[in-house]
Order: sequence, then C-alpha cells, then structure tokens
Amino acid sequence: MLRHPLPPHFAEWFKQQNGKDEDILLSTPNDITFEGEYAERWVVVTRDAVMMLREKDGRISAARNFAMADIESARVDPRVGSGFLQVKINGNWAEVARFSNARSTWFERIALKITRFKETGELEITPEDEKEENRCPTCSLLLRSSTDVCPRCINKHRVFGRLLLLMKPYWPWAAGTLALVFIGLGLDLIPPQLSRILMDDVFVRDPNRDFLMPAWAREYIGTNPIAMLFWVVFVGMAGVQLLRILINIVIARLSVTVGTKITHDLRHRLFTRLSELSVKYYDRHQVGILMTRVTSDTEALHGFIIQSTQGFLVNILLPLFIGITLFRMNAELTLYVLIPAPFVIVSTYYFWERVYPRYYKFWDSHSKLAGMLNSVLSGVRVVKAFAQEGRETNRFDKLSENLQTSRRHVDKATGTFYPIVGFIFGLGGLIVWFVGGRYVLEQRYGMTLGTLTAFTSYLGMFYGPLSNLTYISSWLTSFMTAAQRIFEVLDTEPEIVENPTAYHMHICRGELEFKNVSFGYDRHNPVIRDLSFRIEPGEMIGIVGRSGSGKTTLINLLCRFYDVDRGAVLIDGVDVRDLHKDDLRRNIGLVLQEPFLFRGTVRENIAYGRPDADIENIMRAAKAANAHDFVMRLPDGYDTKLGEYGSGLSGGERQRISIARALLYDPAVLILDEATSSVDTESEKQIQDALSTITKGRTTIAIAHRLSTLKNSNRIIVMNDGRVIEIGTHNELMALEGTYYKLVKIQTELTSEPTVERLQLESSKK
Amino acid sequence: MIEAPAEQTTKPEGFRDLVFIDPTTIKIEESTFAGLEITIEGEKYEGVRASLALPITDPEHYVSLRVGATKGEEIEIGMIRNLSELSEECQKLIRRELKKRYFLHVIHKIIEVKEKFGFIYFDTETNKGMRKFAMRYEYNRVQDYGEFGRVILDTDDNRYIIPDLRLLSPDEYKAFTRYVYW
Repeated sequence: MLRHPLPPHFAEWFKQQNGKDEDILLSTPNDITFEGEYAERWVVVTRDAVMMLREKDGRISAARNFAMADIESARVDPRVGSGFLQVKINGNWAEVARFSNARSTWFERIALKITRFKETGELEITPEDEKEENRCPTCSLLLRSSTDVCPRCINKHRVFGRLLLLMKPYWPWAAGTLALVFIGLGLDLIPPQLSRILMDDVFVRDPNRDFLMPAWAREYIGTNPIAMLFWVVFVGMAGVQLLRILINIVIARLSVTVGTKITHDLRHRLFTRLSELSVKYYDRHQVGILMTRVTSDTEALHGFIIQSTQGFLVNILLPLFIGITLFRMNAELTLYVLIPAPFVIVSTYYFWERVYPRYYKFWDSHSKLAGMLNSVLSGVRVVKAFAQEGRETNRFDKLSENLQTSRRHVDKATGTFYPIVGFIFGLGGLIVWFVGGRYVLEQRYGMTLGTLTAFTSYLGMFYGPLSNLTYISSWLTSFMTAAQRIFEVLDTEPEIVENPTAYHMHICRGELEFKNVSFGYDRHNPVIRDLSFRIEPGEMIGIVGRSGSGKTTLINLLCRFYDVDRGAVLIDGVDVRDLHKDDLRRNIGLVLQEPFLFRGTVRENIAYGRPDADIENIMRAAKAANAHDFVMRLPDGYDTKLGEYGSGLSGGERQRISIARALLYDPAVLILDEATSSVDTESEKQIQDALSTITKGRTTIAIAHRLSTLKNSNRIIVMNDGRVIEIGTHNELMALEGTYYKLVKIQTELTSEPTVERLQLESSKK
Repeated sequence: MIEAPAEQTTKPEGFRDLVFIDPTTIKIEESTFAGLEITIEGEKYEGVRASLALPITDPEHYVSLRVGATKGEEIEIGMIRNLSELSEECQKLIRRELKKRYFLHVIHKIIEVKEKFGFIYFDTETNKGMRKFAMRYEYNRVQDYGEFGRVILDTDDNRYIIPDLRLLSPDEYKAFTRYVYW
C-alpha cells in the first residue's frame, strides 16, 4: 500500500515530531537496511519532507530526512535483488531507502508520486495505485500479469467442477460409460464365486454339507445335478469373461469418443482466446509454453477423462467391493488379508516420492547429452576451426558420466524396489494360504477349499488397485495443474478490448497524429514521453534514432498492439481506441525487418491479408514488389510450397514476398520497420525499387538504420529517449548540424570504404 | 594515473579500449549523496557505483566503476583489476558499494523443501536469518552458480544462493535434488 498506516509507536513518534497524522501523504514499509539486512523501516512522504524512519536501540528517528523544497524529482535505482529510492537534490541523487525486490512495485509508484507532486503540487492516490500489481489479491503471490489467475489460490473444487461442466454436452455418453463401469465391476466379482461353487459343489463335494447352489437351481438342472452343475458353472465363467471383454471395449470406445471431443473443444477455445490476447500477453509468455498448453495440457485432460472411467473409479470401487465380499465370505480371514495393506500403501507412496523422481534426473541428463551432441555435430566446422575437439570430448564425457550415474541410480532403486514390493504383494497370498489352509483342515469358521480359492483369486484384484489408490492424488494433481493452466489462458481477459461504440472506418485518408503520447511496456518506465507530431496524408516519414529510442514502440502504438498510457494516437482525427480493430488493421500495412512467411504456397503467402484476391492481382502485386521474376523461375511458380518461416527462399526474396503481401493488402498507411536492413546490397536495391512503387500516394512511415534509404522522405523524425529531438527534411536537418547530421556523417564515413560487393559491381561495369 | 593498454598497437579511430585504474593513485571518498566520490588524476567523479564483471566466479577481481544509473547515460570510468591492491580504506568503501549492488541470500542450511501445485516451498537458514520462500516450479527459476552452486529466484525475483551443492548434508542434498534435479 502507498498509504499504509504506521505502526502505533512510529505513529506516536511522528505525531510528536511533525504534528498530525493527516500530514502524511504516503507511508510504506521498506524491508531492508542500506547494508542489506532485514529490518523494519518506514518511508514517509509529507508535503514538507521525504523521510525514512527506523527504530534503533528502542529509539525511533528519521535516519534520512529531505526537505521537499530541495527535492527536484525521485527515482528507483534498481540493483541486483534490491533497489534504492533516491531523490534528486541540486542535480545529485541521494538515497532515501533500500528495499528488496518484494517491495519494488510500491517504491516505483512512490518515486513517480513524488516526482508528480513536485511537478504539479498534487498528490492523489487512486484505487489503481493501491492495487497489488501482478500479485494475487488473496495470497500476494507474484503473477506474470495482473490478469493471470493465481495458481496457488485457484479453487480446486471449482476446477474439478469446470472439468465436469466441459463434459456436459456429452453427458449421455458419460452416463452410459459410468453405468458400464459399474456393471463391469459387478462382473469382476463373479468368477471367483463361480470357481468356489465349482470347487465345493462339483470337485470336492461333501455329502454332509448343503449345496452352495440354491435348491431351485438344482431342481431346474434335473437328475444329475453335479455333472450339469459343472457345465453351468463353466459356461457361466466363459460368459462372464466374454461380457467383461465386451464391456471393456465399449467403455474404451465411449471414453475415447468423449475425451477426444472435449479436447478438440478445448483446443479450439484455447486457440480462439490466444488469438484474441494482446501482443503484451505474448511479451510475458514464452511461445513454447503457450504451445504446450494447446497441445500437451489438452492431451493431459484427455488422459483424465480416460482415467476417470477406466482408472480412478475402478481403483476406488474395486477394493471396496472386494473388501465387502471378502468380509461376507469370511470376516476372520479378511482381517489377515488386510495385514500387508499398509505396507502396500507405504511402498507405493515411497515409489512416487523417492524412486520416481530419480527418473527426472535421468531424463534431464539424457536431454542435456542429446542437446550437446546436436550443437556440437551441427557446429562441427566451428569446433574444428578453433581446434576444440579435445574440450568438446571432455564435455561430452562429463555429460555421459552424468547420464550413467543417473541411470545407475534409477536402475538400482527400481531393481531393489520391485522385488520387495513383489514380496509384499505375495505376502498376502502366503498369509491366506497359511491361515485359510489351517481353517480348512480344522474345519473352522465354515471355511471350505472353494472359499479359500475364491479368497486367493480376489486377493490379486485387491492389492493392485489399493496400491494405485496411493498415487491417485498425485495423478489428480497433475491433471488439475494441466486443467488450471488451460483455464488460466481461457480466463485471461484481452487487455486491448474493443470499444462497444467503436467506429467503422473502411478506407482512411492516412492522416496520423500522436498527441501527448506517453507509454512504457512497464508502466513506471516510460519508453515514449509526452510525444506529439502529425503526419499528413500521403507523406513519407523517416524515423531514425539509436536502439531503444522508441521507434518501434511508435509503430506498436499506431497498430494498437499496445494502448497508450497517456495521450492519444489518431488516424484521420479518430482515436485508434475508438476504431474497430479490424478496420484499423485493414488500413495499416506492415513490412517488418524479418519477414514472416507461413508454411504454404507463394500464392497463399502473398494473399494472406486478402485470401479472396485473384491470381492476376497477386501477380501484379508480386511484379510491383520485384518478386514476380524470381517466383516465375521457381519450378512450381506461385504454387511453390514454402517451408516454415519461408525456408527455401533467400532473405531478400522473402522480404519481396512480404512487400507483395503488403501491396496486395493496399493499405492507406504503410509501415516499413527496417525493411531492408537484413539483406545484401543488391537485394536492397531491388527492394528499394519495389518500395518506391508502393509508397507512392500512401502515408508511409519508414524506420531505418541505413539513412540512405530515407533520402526520399518528405520529413525525417529523429528520436532519442522516447522524445522527438529533431524533425524536418533531409536538407533542413543537415543544415541544423544536430544528431541527424552526425549520424549521416558517421554512416558516410563507414560506407566510403570499399566492400567486396562494391568492387564486384565496379569491375562488372568495366 | 590511468594505465595505458599493455600493448600499443594501431587502433582505428573511435576504438574504445578497456581502462584499468592504477590502484595507487585512485582516491575514494564517502559521499553525502548516492554512490562514492572518486578522484583519478585530479578528475573528480561523483555518484560512482561499483559492479563486478565476474560476480560469481571471481568476485575479488575486475570491479567496474561507473557513473550514471539509467540506460544510455551510464559511463564506465575504469576497472580495478584486483580489489586487494587497493588501500584498506578504499577496499572497505568499494566493498560497501558492492554490497549495495548485490542483495543476495546465501543458504547455509535447507530445513525443508516441499512441492505443491506448481510451487516449491523452501524453508532455509541464510546469512540473513531464517527465510521461507516460494519458487515457481520452472526450469529457469534455478540457474547454475559457478560449477557446483545454484541460484534460486523466488516469486519476487529475490536471489538465494547455494554456493556449492557438495557442501550440503546428504539429507539436504536429497531434499533439494528431489525437485531441482537439473
């Protein structure tokens, strides 16, 4: 909080020294001393002073106290793991307080508030200021963005509920599957009972004992009940098994149908949401991670559906049903059966906690070795050129040794674990044979050979699911995590939202205006500062400035990849935030430094913005972009399939395709962001020729490091540190002898030296 | 006096070489403002900050002295090759400035490591007292620190260093590598 109540003893001290509490404009704790030790410190800002309070030896004092009248501005000086709040006094920066990274957001805001207070005399705290940026409001956990869902606080029941909701459209299939699961479990219990009948009523029939088979069934069977019984039980056993197989097949097919349908729905929803999210979201999230969410996480949910019907339920219900059956058959013997159960549970827990994680290390060593091999074998020329074969061999040996060690640890652990677990599982059988066998011999508790056989059969079905139960929670967690990651994306609201009353502007004239624009990718660190300029329709504007001066940011704001923090960007006098996004982008064509071509044909790539364009227009655009001739040289012409990122073409050729794409799009405003900087001189000339065609009569903004490419511009804007420092025609700026003049001079000197390309050109002219 | 580069060769105009500061001629003083006050060959620099070129592998050598804090306006005055070549007083001031640059927790003992729903929770004893912190269970949140050490970035991007995994007790090592296996 920016206005955090002072602890009572600090508040009391402040009151004594400075008057009333109301004088405090800002007060917030900083957590470390200047020496970097954790301690309670408070930064207090009043109309008259900025101070840091501390308690030492039971005495409170203002360890730092700067009169507001002397302060020019404030800033945060970030270091490694901590930062300093500093104020500027007579041109020098003085330290007010030090804080750990946990407090950095607050001190960035305080620095901004102090500076604004000095500029305007006003200090206002809005609810937005008190919001914990990128932190969960419940548990204060740092999130990747303010719109991210807190993974710690996510309601697991809700996640499960949402997962079930996903199944809603498929409930008849789900209900059918569930019913079949129950029938299947019932069938699983029948074979041991049949074998019991077979044993006690057929094979070792005791004349003193009643038939297990009910009297009505025997009457129905007829004169030779024993022989007939054998056949009935046998057919029953075969029938149950056949039915079980049939049910298993139907369950598998149904659950796969439900699972794949749900994952398809999810993938569709995820991709739709990802395409709605702003560029800012992609700045914070790695593309690889997002790809994992669309591909692997949805597959994990598929696994969840399958497991729910075939794994979890069976594992939970089967031991329960068998337990009840065993108790009904012989309660005493069942108690003995339960003796190994705790060991089964403990050993399975041990496996997942201690043995299984060893696989992580093994997989990691494996992938590191593969990665190393890949890089060394791909770069074998470099290795040989620098004579580093020996070093690479050592590196390989070390990684191979790691792999060997991790493999040994895994195999040793599993090699010890499995026999022990096998023995524990077998222990149950031994106990049943020993105790149950004695009951049979001593004819105690009505135990018969058939019951004993049934017991041992049930035992095999009892321990397996029981051990699976131990890691059900771990399975569930992994499914929940995958689900949560998917919901995180689905729940993220797009930061750039369409204004409900947005205008439609089908064709614009191309008049652009930046009006007092301020913007920072990080709100507290502006990249564009109070920038204003205007571009007339049809004008060609060159923008120059060193890296980080804000050139590309201007383009990002114009395309509304980001929204401005203050001010407005206007197209034909309309704020870009008030325009339909599609209309805005339809009027802007973008040619980037690295042309991005998609997997597809040349024709599809040129027509990317206008898929309905006919081939003649596509060829016209390609001709104007100087691409037609090289496309025609390709064996398949415009039907040539390009690989990922346009592989198969040179950099210059890819760029000319992207220019053709922009040309076909026919935008009112054309943006060229370093369009020719990554190609060779000859390609640059061809691209320049292409560009001169397409920029005619169109508002064009060209960013370039090679100033020669801007010589045809109507005006040139020179940027530095987010501000326009010079603006005018080439001649005006040269006459000014300012930054532009210096840049031109440096580049002229650099390019005056002969290059291979220039020499080749000159010799070919002779 | 500022040392000339060891080997005098013809350098193109505009080429900027590293400048190493002669430790015997540098004057370092405390400043009332942020940073140090440093005088070299009669030229005075205010608000000087220190940073290490090799903070992990060689924190006693190659200290860069710089003025200006923000990107673009930062200038290196020069480098000190070896901290111990400075006078006791100068060393003390530079070390204090370096302490201001690096706020690091050095883990002396790992009491507990737990994993829950995508986070690793650490309970540790550090050079700054007992610290409990959480880390997102992601590969890039634990990086190598020298050959055998690890640096952990918690959810606030605070840094926790285990200087040498080999110095952990077998139990601590097991607890740590059970989750951080890379």
